[in-house]
Amino acid sequence: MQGFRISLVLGVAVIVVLAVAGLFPVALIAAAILIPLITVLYLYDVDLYEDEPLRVIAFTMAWGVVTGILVGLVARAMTPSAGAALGATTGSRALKEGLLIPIIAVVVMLAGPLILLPYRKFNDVLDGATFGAASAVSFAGALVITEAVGFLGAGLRPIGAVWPWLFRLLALGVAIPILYAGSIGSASAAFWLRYRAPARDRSVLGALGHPVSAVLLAAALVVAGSVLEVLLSPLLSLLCLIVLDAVALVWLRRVIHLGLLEEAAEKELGPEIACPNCGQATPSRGFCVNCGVSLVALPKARAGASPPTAAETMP
Amino acid sequence: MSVQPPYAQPPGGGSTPPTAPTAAPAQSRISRNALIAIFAGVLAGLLVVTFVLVKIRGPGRAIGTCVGALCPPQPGPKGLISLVHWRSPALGYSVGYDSSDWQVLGQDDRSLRLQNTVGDVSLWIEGAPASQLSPQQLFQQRLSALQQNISTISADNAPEDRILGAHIGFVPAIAGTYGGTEQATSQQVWVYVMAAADPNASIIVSAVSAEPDFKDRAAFLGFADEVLNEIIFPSAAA
Repeated sequence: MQGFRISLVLGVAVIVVLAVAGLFPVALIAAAILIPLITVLYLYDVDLYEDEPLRVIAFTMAWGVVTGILVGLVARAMTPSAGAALGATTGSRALKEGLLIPIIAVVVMLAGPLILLPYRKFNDVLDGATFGAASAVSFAGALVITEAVGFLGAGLRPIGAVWPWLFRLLALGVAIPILYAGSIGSASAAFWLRYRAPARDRSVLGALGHPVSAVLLAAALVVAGSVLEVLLSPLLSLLCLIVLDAVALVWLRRVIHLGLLEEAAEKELGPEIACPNCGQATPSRGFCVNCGVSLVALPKARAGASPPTAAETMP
Repeated sequence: MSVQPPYAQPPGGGSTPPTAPTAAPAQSRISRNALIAIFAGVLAGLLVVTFVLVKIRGPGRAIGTCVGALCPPQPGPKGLISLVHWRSPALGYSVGYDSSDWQVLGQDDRSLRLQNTVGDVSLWIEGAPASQLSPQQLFQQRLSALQQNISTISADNAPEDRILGAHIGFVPAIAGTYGGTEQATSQQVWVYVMAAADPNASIIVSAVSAEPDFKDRAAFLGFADEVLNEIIFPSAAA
């Protein structure tokens, strides 16, 4: 996981440097692709769908990209010119940018993953969370790029104050994709919990595990983030988005934990292995008995390089 | 397959329970360094492509001599036209505009918003009693209002965008040029702001354009210049 953390820090550093240098259009593209790129690499690395990785990942990410472009075009079509947009009242802006577009976004971000719900092959809560999060981050990136197409013609260093730009870029590049991923991933997982998970698990998350209330909460989080962006300065809205991110991530963490427990319950108690995280001996099922890390969530062993089982390694 | 002995040999015999196996960490499909290299490579590649595209698509260099209040090349004479005259019910100033070039975006008893139908430029004309707000105060108010939608607004010091000899209705005005990204449309905009006053009213005008090419923008601003010349202060109208 350290590689992903380093990549995220590296990406944020690139955005900051480009913004400080005044290269706002390039920084904007960096912000738009940062989280989607890390997500693609993560999905490839954990090899979650090893039997058909390309089709599943390509579908979930492509769905987000295509719908992000379409929603971006709709948003652009709804605002005829910059001059007219400047004349809009805060209320009308909040209605369009804070309510209408985000609700459309929630619906389309969820619609893609739900296409995969009827497939019995994808029968875990983790599947729903992964599909939703992947669709959401690619949607966020595509939306930003589509809305900014006109801006890319303004030259390499358009006029603008650096600090507001920096806060805006961090919001667009990190805070908003994480908010979308947490909210939509969790809401999507609620459908899998309801219709694919064992019946005993359906009430584990309480109201958060019911699709209707989960979708409403996801929409509320996304709408809240968008409204705050309209009403507050870039710095304040970034700070508020970070708070909303924390809420969404805690929610997603609970969903993932339930998914990991389900995966662990499905597996037979296997031979003892060395935990990839702490190195101590543990049965190869579910969680490490020593450090508690989920053995399912860790990157899978490369063929031929699996950790030795206790049987293999006994003297 | 050779496997490392996982259990340490207990000193002095085999009766001691085995200790933990030697860690043989599972490998990711991508090593850490490879992951960072792939990430950095893809990011760098996409940014280089973006850099080149933005450079190619960027506006051309500004050329031409500045003429007129908003510093555009002036359009030629249009011949005889009938202007529509809008009059502020509260303040008494009036604005004349060619309705074939401009459409009304909004109005109230003190302000008028116009959108050009030919090019990408809009005008926001607003007044206040001179006893209540000076042109400087109106100017600051307008910048604050613009900042609501253009959070990155910043002074534009490019020579080609400077407003020379600013006047509103032939009354000398204070002026400034600004740029930034309009949040609703994510478009880069150029904002030209001027404020002037007579004994009765202070008037502020801002012209906004998202046209990145200076020559085209200057041509569109020529339309705004025509409206500026047709603003009549209350004292002149009396």
